[in-house]
Amino acid sequence: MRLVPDELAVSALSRDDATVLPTDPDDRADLADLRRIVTVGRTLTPADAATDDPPADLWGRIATSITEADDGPATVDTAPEPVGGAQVVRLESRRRTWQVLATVAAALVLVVAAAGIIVNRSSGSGTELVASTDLALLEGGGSGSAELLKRSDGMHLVVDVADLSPAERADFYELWLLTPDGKDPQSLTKFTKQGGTIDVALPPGVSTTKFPVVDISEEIDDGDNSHSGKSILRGSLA
Amino acid sequence: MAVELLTRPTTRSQYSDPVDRTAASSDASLVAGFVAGDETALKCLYDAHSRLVHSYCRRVVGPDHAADVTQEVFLAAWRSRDRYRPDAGTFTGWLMGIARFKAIDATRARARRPDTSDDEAGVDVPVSAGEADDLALRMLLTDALQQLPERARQMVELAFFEDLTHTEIAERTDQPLGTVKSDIRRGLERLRSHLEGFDAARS
Repeated sequence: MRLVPDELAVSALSRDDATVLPTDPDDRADLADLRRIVTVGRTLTPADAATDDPPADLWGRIATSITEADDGPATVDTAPEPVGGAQVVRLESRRRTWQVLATVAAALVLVVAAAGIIVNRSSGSGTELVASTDLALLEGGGSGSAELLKRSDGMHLVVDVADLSPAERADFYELWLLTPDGKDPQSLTKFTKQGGTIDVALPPGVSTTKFPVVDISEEIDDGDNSHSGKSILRGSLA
Repeated sequence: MAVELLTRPTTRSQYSDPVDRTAASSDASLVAGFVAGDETALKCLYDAHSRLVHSYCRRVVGPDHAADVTQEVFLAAWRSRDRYRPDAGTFTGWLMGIARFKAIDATRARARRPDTSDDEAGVDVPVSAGEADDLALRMLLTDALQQLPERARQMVELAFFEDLTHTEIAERTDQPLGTVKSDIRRGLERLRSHLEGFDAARS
């Protein structure tokens, strides 16, 4: 019979040499993995923390390389490659290309921002609060509230959450709208942050008249897109 | 991806803050976007991981070549993105596995060149593959520990660094023993999935 996972973790951390090895082979393998983590973990020092940001232009160099030579996924190349040397010349030309792209992008941002200001002014405040609700805690941890806003470009759901934590396990959280009886979940977005604002435009065809219940669930990344059934926060827009 | 097409807002901010990697190491949808060839997803993953990768490369190959090797790491990850399997460990672990390869390759390539005049005076460069391997694991685990939910991180740190038993941690943190046990177990499992990603990059 297999051990409870919690007890395996206790064994992995135990300093007691007399700890009896589990009889189940899978347990033994799990324990060996956990012990490897514990062994390294116990020797970590502050010097093992990452402290050096790369040069500011590095992303530009990477982006340019990708744009120039994106021939789709290939097999992983682990062969040694020369560092520096002949590469420097190519990097210079890439950098110039990137600078041109960056300038164009910056100009576009300015145009869009200016357009945004004009639109905003012409539509007054541009935002109307349609409905709101506090989100009640069902399981796990956290708190939150939701507002349904009407903006010039359509309806938005803006959710503020704080200190989200799953009851069991979450690879990510997911924001849903449900029918008044908590059925037929409509996914709005997935996210991983435990606190902050989530602002989503309501997709066409999803109305809060039919789906007035705001729901945040914990989800594991198992390829199943349906609601996990584990809701952390929930509230009904009114 | 069908669900995402229906539900995603259309702005660049469709991905949650990349620096906030929390328990998921990297937003699952972000990594899915990366695998599907979305350059915006790559940028977000770069923002979230470039400091870790660059710091590691700097310590293995020295400051003069760290940026070049970091670039190679992200390009190699991008080119081999169809080989990443989310169920075989975290993206962070996988990326650090690639970083380990690239850093060791760069060190070896330099050692073979006779005209290595820039011998990084004063920089403690680990030369053996074993040391580079060990450092990658340590930096990965340190980073992974920082990404754990606050309470779990605190408990795992008390177990690692202060050598407290579960019972002592329960007393210290004023939490029920059962909570301590499950938090630590989940924390260790999370660290383990980083290690699995790291190992997966070797295979």
